[in-house]
Amino acid sequence: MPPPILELSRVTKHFGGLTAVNQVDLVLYRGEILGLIGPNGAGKTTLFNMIAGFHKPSKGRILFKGMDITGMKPHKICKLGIARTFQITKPLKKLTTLENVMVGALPKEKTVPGARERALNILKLMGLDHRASLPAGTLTPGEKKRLEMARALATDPSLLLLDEVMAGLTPTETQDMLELLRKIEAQGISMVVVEHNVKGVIRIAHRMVALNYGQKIAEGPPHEVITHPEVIKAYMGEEGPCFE
Amino acid sequence: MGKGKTLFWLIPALLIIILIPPVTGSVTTREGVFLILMYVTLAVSLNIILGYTGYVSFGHIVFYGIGGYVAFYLMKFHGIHLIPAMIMGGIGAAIAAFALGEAVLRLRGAFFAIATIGVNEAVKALVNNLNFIGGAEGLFFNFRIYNTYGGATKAIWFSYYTMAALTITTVIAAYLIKKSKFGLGLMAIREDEDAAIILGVNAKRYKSLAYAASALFPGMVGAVFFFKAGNIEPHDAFHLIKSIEMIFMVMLGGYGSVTGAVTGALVYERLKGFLLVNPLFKNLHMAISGVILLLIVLFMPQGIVGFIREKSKKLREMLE
Ligand SMILES: Nc1ncnc2c1ncn2[C@@H]1O[C@H](COP(=O)(O)OP(=O)(O)OP(=O)(O)O)[C@@H](O)[C@H]1O
Ligand SMILES: [Mg+2]
Repeated sequence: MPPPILELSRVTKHFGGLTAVNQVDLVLYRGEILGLIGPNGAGKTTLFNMIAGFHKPSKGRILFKGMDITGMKPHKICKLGIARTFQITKPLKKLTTLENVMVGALPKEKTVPGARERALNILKLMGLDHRASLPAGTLTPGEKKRLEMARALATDPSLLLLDEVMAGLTPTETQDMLELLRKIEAQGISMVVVEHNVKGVIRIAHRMVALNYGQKIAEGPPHEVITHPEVIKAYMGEEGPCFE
Repeated sequence: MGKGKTLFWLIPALLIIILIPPVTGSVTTREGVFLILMYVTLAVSLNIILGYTGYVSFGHIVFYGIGGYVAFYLMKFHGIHLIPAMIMGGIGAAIAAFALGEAVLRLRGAFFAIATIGVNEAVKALVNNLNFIGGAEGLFFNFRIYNTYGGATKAIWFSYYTMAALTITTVIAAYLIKKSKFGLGLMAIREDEDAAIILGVNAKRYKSLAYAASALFPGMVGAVFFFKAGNIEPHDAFHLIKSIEMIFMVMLGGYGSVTGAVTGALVYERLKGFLLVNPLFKNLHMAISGVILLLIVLFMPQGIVGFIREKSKKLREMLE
């Protein structure tokens, strides 16, 4: 088994009286794609916020490549090689699509032309190059999702945290997105993929973890996790599309 | 991103304006152009924090006042020449901004704007009570100071050329900042601070540095202005109305664009001149400016230059 890239031990987050994430242990191995599922409010985004340094965990520790990054500043965590996308896309609206990606490329690239070059290559990979000179605010929702990913990739991550990048995509766009994830996988980048679209995620995830009310309720191979009685129970009462 | 096309016409245009007074020898014109240059420098500087970074520094005039006081003090009590005194004034203002930035730039939106007004008023109150710099009365030059520059008349021309050089430097610096890695980071902060941070931008440090940069040149402007005036007092140095005028210029011309800030300053100077000589509007010029500002924010938030940039793709690179 390859060495772990990310290790969470008993990570907990309280918001006032609410425990959004409760004593979660999690290991991600290098090169692995981990699918993270769970009903609305399960704590998936909060978990990402803690890994990326947006929220400081109330308890527990987070190790990245063996280094303790608990409570570290987000821009530092980014430089170490963790990138994330936002569930609600955050395009830099007035900047062009190219400039958006250049922002991500800048910390690693020394010069503006260097960042530009790198950003253009990534836009090509993401199939967004024809939108390069348009203000990012004018992109379609699907394109904005890809822009989120393009920017994240521009930071040259070894770990990518994807928060519902397939949500709201058309079936063709979902297909494209899966192919893209395979390309990223081929570059050796490890990923944690949060998805409501369980059908999509089981096609690429090597392993899955399910959360409910902030607690880990199942972990293992994708098919085992989605047929796990706890998981089915957690999803009961939810709308069907998740398993469609 | 452009290839420096903006500066190729903007700098010559400014140089032409700068050359009008010495060519015509008109003192009235010189006074007018001095004011224009001052406005341009202030607006272009404020644009770095307001336009690039998206933080409304409402009390920005505080840095002009700080620079003015530092330089005036050095010139009056230590016999230091205008140029080094001006540089010290600018650096003093920049350091104050950096320190302040670390404290108040964690505030976002309206809270930051209000905090900067508070800072200006607090500094004004402080200076009012500091006797070694003249307190409420302020400081006056002994006119012998101008002898170093060949007498009062030459000293005023000297301050004119100093202001001109300062304006050109500021415009070039603001442009280079915009086109740099740093500038892109600032604009990312303006658009979405959380996204910028997650992309590796050290927003806290960037904001403080932007604030320092946007305070440096106003500090120097204050030095030159009060050198020329021959006296400095708290009411003039920390005049909140001037702060509002600066914001007006940036919004009118188009925030985020160097050409926009320059245009806003030029238009505002003309507008103010027109309103002030007209007996009907004389006492209403701030009220009218206020209404115009409201209209801009409501109907043309991108300002004059921003509007043209939106309409014409060809002109965009020339109007950075
Ligand atoms: N900043 C915050 N302050 C207070 N409560 C929060 C905050 N962020 C999240 N929560 C709460 O924490 C819980 C977990 O939210 P989180 O966004 O992590 O869920 P999620 O699994 O990502 O859900 P979804 O599938 O809807 O995106 C929810 O009850 C949410 O309301
Ligand atoms: Mg979420």
